[in-house]
Amino acid sequence: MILQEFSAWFVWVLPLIASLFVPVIGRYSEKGRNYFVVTVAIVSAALAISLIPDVWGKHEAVIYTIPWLSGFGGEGLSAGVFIDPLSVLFTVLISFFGLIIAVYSIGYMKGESGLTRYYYLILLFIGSMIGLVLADNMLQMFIFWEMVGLCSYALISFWYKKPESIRAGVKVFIMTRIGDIALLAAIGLLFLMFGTLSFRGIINGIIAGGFNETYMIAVAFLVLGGAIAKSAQLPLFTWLYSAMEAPTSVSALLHAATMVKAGIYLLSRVILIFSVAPALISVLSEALWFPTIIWVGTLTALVGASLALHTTDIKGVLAYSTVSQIGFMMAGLGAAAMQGWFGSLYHMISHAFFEGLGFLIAGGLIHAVGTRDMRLMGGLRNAMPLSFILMGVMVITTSGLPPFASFFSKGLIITSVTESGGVFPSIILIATTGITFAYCFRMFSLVFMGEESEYLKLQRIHESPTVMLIPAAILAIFCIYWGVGEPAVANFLGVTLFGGDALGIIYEAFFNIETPIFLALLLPIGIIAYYSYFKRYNGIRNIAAGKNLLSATLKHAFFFDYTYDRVAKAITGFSIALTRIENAMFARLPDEGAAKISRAAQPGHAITLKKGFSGSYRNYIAAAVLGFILIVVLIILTFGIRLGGA
Amino acid sequence: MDFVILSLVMLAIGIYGLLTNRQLLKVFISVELIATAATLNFVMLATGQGLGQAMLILAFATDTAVSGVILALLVIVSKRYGTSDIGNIVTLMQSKEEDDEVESA
Amino acid sequence: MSLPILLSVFLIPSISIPFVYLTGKKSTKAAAIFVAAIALVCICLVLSTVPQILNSELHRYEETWTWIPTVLSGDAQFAQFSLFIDGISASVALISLVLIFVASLYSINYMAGKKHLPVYYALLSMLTVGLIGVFLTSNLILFYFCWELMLVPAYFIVGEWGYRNSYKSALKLFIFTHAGAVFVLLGIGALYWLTGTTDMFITQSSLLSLPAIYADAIKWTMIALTAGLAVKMAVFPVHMWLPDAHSEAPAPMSALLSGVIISAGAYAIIRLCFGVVFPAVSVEFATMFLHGLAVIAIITAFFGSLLALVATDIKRVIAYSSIAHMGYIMFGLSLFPVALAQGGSLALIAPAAIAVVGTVLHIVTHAASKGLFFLTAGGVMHQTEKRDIREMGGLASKMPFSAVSGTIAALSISGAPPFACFISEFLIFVGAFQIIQADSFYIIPTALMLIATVFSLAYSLRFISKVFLGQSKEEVGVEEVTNGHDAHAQPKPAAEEAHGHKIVDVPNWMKASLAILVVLVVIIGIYPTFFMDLIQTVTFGAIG
Repeated sequence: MILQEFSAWFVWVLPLIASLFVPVIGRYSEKGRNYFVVTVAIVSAALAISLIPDVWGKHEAVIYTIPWLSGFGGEGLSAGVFIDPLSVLFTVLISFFGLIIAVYSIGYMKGESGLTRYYYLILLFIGSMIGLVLADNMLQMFIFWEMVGLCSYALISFWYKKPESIRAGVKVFIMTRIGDIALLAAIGLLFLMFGTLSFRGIINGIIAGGFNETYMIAVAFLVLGGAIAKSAQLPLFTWLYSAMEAPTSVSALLHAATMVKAGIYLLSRVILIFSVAPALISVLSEALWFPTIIWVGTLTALVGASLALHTTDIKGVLAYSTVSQIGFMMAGLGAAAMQGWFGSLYHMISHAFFEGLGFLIAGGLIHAVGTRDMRLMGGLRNAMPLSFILMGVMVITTSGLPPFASFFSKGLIITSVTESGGVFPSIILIATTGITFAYCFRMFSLVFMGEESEYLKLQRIHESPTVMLIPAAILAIFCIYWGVGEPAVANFLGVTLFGGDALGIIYEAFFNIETPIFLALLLPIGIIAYYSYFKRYNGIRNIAAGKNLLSATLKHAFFFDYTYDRVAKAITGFSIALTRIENAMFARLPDEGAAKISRAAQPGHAITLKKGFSGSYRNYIAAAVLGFILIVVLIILTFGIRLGGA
Repeated sequence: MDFVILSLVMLAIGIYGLLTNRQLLKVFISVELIATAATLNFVMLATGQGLGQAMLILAFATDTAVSGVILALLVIVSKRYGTSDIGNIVTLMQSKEEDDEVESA
Repeated sequence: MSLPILLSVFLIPSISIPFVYLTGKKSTKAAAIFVAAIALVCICLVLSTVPQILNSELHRYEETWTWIPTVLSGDAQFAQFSLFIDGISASVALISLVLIFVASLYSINYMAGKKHLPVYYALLSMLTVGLIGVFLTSNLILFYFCWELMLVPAYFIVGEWGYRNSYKSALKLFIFTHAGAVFVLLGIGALYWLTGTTDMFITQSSLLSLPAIYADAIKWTMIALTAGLAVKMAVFPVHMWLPDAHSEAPAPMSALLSGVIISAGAYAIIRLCFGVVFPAVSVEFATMFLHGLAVIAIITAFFGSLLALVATDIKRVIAYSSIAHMGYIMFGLSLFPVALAQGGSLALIAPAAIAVVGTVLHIVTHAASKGLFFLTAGGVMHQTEKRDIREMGGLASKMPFSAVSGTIAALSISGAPPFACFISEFLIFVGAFQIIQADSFYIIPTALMLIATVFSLAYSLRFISKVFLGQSKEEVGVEEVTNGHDAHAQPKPAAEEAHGHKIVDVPNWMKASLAILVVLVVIIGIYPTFFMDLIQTVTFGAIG
């Protein structure tokens, strides 16, 4: 138990404190700093793994606290760690990916300037993210939630000399902040209802019952809002594509594997908390909370997949793919059933593997070719054979072909959605799986198949360095073998599926209704893809390039960004108008942009000063007289008019 | 009641003088008029109470001392700039400052 | 009570004013260190009263001396020189003294080379006296005396050592706050007329026992006092003096103005209005009054945030941000639970009083963060000799220390953890939800204030992006940039290297003061318990 407490605290405290040492070490030695970061990541991962045995299959959480804030109408708020299978699952995932990316960054970011800042932020991020999932009260979780957003902003704007990076960082931070205030409102309401912010306290409060159900419904929707913003769902998903301005290692760590999953963690945790009172679950279902989640997830999945099919930017494909897959996860969570909850989490892990792998390979490609545009790539299978194989693994595992992991996870999700949400969402989800296969295949073909262009031949493309390929290979191995891990994960989370034994689960997966539909879908898509890319059939391309409504909508990312831009411009325009009114009304000093601070040696200026000064004091005296009259009126009102005698 | 009207009239005259005059001495007289109006008002209202009268004598005395200092400053300023019109003095002050700046730059 | 601690805190800066001046004639650096040392001594003295605040029965520490007697009535006192300190006073006084300490160290480098510096440091001491008097007194006359006393050094420092049209801005400051102080005087006079005493505690209990004909008088007294004190706080209708005064003041004075002096307005509202007059007003009026405060607060917060979003002068952005934050503080004030006024300590009535705790904590955290923000901006101005943020950019590589401190300041102002202002804003919002349960008027104001935090993030990020990130403008040719209200006029890029010298980071004393504030901002953000403990011991309403 002592080891558990120690591990649970240090798995996130260690990276946070170690990040402070990075600038110190980085001043003396670059290599030392890199090794330091990797070592800290290894230790953190080891601590995370050590937490696994103790929580295997447990439903009750273990909590350790230390006193922190006083007041709050009672004992105050303590900081603590909340160790249960869900937290440990995420912790292991985050620390594992932190390690992978730390190693990958050594190769990918070689030669960049400002690496000390980069590694500092990476460690800070790992610590904050693990702190987020291990927090035992809403305030602590919210603090790390925002800190993770802060690291995201800083890392996206890493190349701060590029205006696009700066703009992207600002956009991302502001969009996620909108979700943050929803979460803040939810926290306020929770404190109002239960008088405490700790998870244990809230669970006890829900079991005790007697709270206001309207508030609870409001809390649920607000929490959903926070999750939507952080996990890039409709309507706040456009930031994920902008976040691709970050270095690819950052994109892999933050925007594929971990930070965007924070919303999924929040929803899973909240659903787990709500599920202690089945009455509450039915109230929320009636209030349409769960159906909302299903629809948000489903529509996001569709939008994300279609945009991934359309874009020509390789990181864009991966970004929109993430949006789409997280949509799947949301839909699974919205099914309000154990099956869906588990499927969603399992899909989360598999997605981390294959999307992470995709980003790692994409990073190598971008380094080699020098561009993110897929139309300029092509035929790279000969020049970069290992990347070709690894990306192939990614494509196969993403598409949901059996016996790989996403087949099982998507199957679970679609099954549970059908059971609780009806037929419509699951039809859309099945269609989206088909589109997933399509865009993966498209990306793969555009980049690796076909013939190398003359331009590329001249560039003499070479394979990525080993230090970048090894993490990718590790992820690929996980992708391939993760499918068989499903029963183990189910046991770990304490979830019983289909009678609970391994063979039963796999058997079920193959024999529900979705499987033949899904597999049948692959055939026509495969045929279209084959013709489009190998046989150069231009039909689809003509549709995409044409001036119809579909291609216009896709090109402008469903006009979400367009709307947001207009809103931002309107606010700015309003503020400028306000400034002008303010200046005109109060004869304000004009907002000069003069380079010289001292009085300008222009004759005109002196005249302005002269008139300004001696003239103005008369204005002030006039104002004083007015004020005097006002005071007299006030006095009369206060004391009544006293006439005659004193 | 009559002295309240007297003080108000004195106050009005003083404010009018302050707003319209450009001569240094006239501005000073207007300011003193306003101060005297206020003091007079309070003196007549504070009937029979020791603290009030004591404070007002204090205020009066301070006022006198400050007037002395102000008059001395007025003499110095008008001697320095050779004029006792406020607008002209301000212009001269600012051009003098610019000259100083140009010299030291 | 053998050693008169509070009297020393008051007297030490007062006595030192002429000595600072004389020291300054010999060496300005010595004068600055003298002022800083005095501030440090006062901090230690205040800290020594903290144990008594936390543990004693009444949770306050008092000292009283005779001062102005009433002549003919024998022993009766018109005004006592009574000093007292409780949790709120201690917190606010501590952060103000820290800011003065930091500002005087900062001035060593920043004001170097300017004229009449001995007077500047003497004026800083005078400002300390005024501030201590406002925070540490429980007598209304002494309070008013120190309140007005603060104006004199403010006027002269802004006027003499300020930038463009400095005397005009200083005059605006003086006239506005002085006019507000007239209303305060009116309120104090009314209180004396109603209760016959000028001590805050006795007044408060006397007001409760007044017959009902005086209800109107009490109402208007409340309004007059709040209006007068709100001018100092620079909330919406009477904010006009703040942007000019804070932008044209020299950077250390801007930090003090924005951090401490406008917080004095908020502190005074808590102490005078809520502490003294509020218990005696009727509940309906109290509710209406608080709702009015909430409306003003929202308008102020949005007004400040929106104007900060498009301002182009580096200090003006921060000045508008101060207006916005005073809106937050006023919002927190409007969440004062009416029940608390009838009597009770903040700890006991909590959780309804969480908003009040948050508000006072926000005064502290805002002071620290805004001080850091202004000092960093001053450093940037000092090194690059530019004021327009459209001409800046890429300073992160040239001035890394300032970039880090400026980013921390901006993020703290926007309410991002783990920095200071997050926890205080969090407490205000949690408290707001508590009040919503009792009074559903506050639903819309709370929602609007939450949206305002998005805007504060927007202008903070804009500041960071325009000043520190990006690339520095290339030299095209030195051209004067035209005046204009239009923030979108194309700026003509000015020379990157002003006056032929390279842009380097700020000198060491400035770095030290920035570092102190950075550490403070981070520590208060992670562990605000010290201040929260102090604040929560405060008792409102009837004594005992």
